Amino acid sequence: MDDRTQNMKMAHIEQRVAVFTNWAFFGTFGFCLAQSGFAESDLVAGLAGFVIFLIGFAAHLIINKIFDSHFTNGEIALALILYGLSMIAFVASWLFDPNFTKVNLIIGLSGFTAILLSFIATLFIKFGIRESYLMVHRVRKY
Amino acid sequence: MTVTLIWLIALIALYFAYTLFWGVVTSRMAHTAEDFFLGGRQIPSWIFVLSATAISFSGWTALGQPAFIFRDGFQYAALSLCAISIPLTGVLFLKRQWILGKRFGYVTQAEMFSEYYSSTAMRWMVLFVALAFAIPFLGMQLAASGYLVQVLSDSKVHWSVAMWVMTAVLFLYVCFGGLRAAAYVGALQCMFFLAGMIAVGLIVYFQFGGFGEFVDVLAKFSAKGIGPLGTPASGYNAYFEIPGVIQFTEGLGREAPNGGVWTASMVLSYSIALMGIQAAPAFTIWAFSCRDTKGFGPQQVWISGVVIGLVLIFFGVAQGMGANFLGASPALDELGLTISHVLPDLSGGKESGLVAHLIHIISSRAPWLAALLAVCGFAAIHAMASAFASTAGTMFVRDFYKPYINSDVDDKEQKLLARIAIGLVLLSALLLATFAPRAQIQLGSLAMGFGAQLLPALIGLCWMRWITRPAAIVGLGVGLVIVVFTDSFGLSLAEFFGIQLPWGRWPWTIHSAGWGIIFNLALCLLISLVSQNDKEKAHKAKFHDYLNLAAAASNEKRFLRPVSWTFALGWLFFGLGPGSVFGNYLFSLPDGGVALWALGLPSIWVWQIIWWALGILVIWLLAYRLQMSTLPNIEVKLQEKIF
Repeated sequence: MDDRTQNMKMAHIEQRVAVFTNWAFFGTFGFCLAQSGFAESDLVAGLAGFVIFLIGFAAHLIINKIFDSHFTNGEIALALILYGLSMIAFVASWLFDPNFTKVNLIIGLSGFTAILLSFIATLFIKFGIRESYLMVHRVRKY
Repeated sequence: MTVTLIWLIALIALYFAYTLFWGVVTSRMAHTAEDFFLGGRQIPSWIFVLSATAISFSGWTALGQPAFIFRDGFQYAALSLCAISIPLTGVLFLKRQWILGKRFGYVTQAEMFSEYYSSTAMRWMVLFVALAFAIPFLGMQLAASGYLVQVLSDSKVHWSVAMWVMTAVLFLYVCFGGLRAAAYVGALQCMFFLAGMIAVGLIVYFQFGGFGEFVDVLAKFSAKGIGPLGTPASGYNAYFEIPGVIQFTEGLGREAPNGGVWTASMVLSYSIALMGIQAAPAFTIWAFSCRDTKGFGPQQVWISGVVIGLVLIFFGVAQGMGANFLGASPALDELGLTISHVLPDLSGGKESGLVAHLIHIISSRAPWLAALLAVCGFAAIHAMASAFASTAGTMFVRDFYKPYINSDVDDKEQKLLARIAIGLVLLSALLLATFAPRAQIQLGSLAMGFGAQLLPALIGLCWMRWITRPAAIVGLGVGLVIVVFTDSFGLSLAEFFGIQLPWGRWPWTIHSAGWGIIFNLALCLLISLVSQNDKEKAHKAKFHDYLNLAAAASNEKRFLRPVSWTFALGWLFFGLGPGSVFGNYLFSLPDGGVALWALGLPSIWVWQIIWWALGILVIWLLAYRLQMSTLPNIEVKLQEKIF
């Protein structure tokens, strides 16, 4: 393997290490705090959990910038699946859990909305508003 | 099974999966022995910054510092300034070692020393130091991880079972991927360690209702005058002052110092022991593995100096001092100072479980978070354990097998032998911890003192060609012996042979590392005076000439040298040394109360904060302005390949 290929391979692995470290850290802390917030109806803990998720997202953007890379299809798919499942769990709790409180509702709505808005903001910044809209519009066309 | 235990198992399983994942990935990258031993000398700077920090501070900081502050108060908290003194060793030696390693293809510190000093004895002694450091120290750390599980599982899981299981996983990922696996996982371990310490500190502050309320309780305690350590000569509470510059006592076990053991001389000499961490053979291997020196400065100044310092001074102190008022100290309970009884009695030698019990406070309310904080503790411990285990394997092959058994050993066999050695080292540590805990504690106490004895030899290698081979060898040897016989292990050994030494542990309140260094340096200097020879000078010239070319500060920066060194020595004197006693009363009397305390904090704490901030300036000056941790002046190329 020549030097250039070797360097590219190493850079790719290091980017993977950075991404894994980032989400292993922010993901677990965010999850544990959010979960504690929901379980104890603790607004501060719950919102802190979502803030940590957002920090992890921002850190991932920085990692991509440093390594001159982008979100992979796998990462996007995983994020959408986790977001979707979390939303389903939240809505199900809202509808069926008798212990679901107003504080839980605030935590969940604020948190999920913030994540969605940050994702949209990233698209707008990266691709512009028109191009971001056209991504969705093109899909619908076909 | 409690909810906390379920979450603990789940999160530990996830953590193990993460470590094993990287173990497998890096095993596929370890094609050659150099890949396995040194990560191909391609470890990027950001990973070095994080993993080296985790190795340097690890479990002894996360679990040990709060425990000792709980037991001994602010006099031990002076060692929070190790956030400056430990990277100071790195500033002095790391870049130069990296340059020599890259230039001459060294893999281990022992190789480098044996070639520089032209001495097989040096090689054996360094190998001995490495193993004597690694095995008992590993045992202590791994046992601590087991106790953490035992406490959080309400004793449903025995500490030895937890220890063996967790070490088995650690063995696997280090065995698979070598140093690269330890480095990649170390990045996450560092972040967990920092977050864990901050989080546990916040838990304590919340118990008091905030930082201000915590200080109010401290003020009430300091006004009581009497603490568990007795009263120092000043008559004030021993928890709030350094008990003198030095006390000429016979040593622990024969004559206890008045008002606590952490005199200025003890703090300074113990700091020298802690500096042994970055002087240790394992850390040199870590330095050799780096792609470049870019990460050295940031690791020393910003992460160690700023971040670790902040964590130790504000969150470590909160954990340690705060525990006294949360039920852990019956003596304070009798004084009516306890604000709640969330902690069990941890006095009388039970302080080692402090952090586990602090985490346990939140386990009923937030079991997920408690489990995560436990994982943070394991991560801190495993960071150092994995680093020392992987480098022990490297040293076994490079410093024993290859030079003395089979010099033609190929890459595949080197990797296999290293893996076996890693297993044997971890197994030895586990057996020691399980079946001989008393011996392990005594040997572990020697570990850092041993590492510190390499400092004069490193000074000779990196800076002073004037230190001769016989001086370095004799100094190191005698230093090691002195460390042994001024600590518990040596005293027990002498007693075993029917010899009653006329001193106890750490006589004159000087740590065994300090005693070793005193004799080591004195002999180094005296013997060097009379053993200079031209042949040795000519041999060493190739090392020092190259270092001058690659590492010397530029001419325009050289004027900074006397200023920076004066500042550094002044910092050592006032921050960790005899001058630290000024902090006892400079800003206010210990029992003055919040209204009279400068910045609303005890004088000793203000002193530590100030010297922490000044210490950051010291290492910044040395690392960046004096270019001791910047990139080399030239591109360093391998002169001759050792592999």
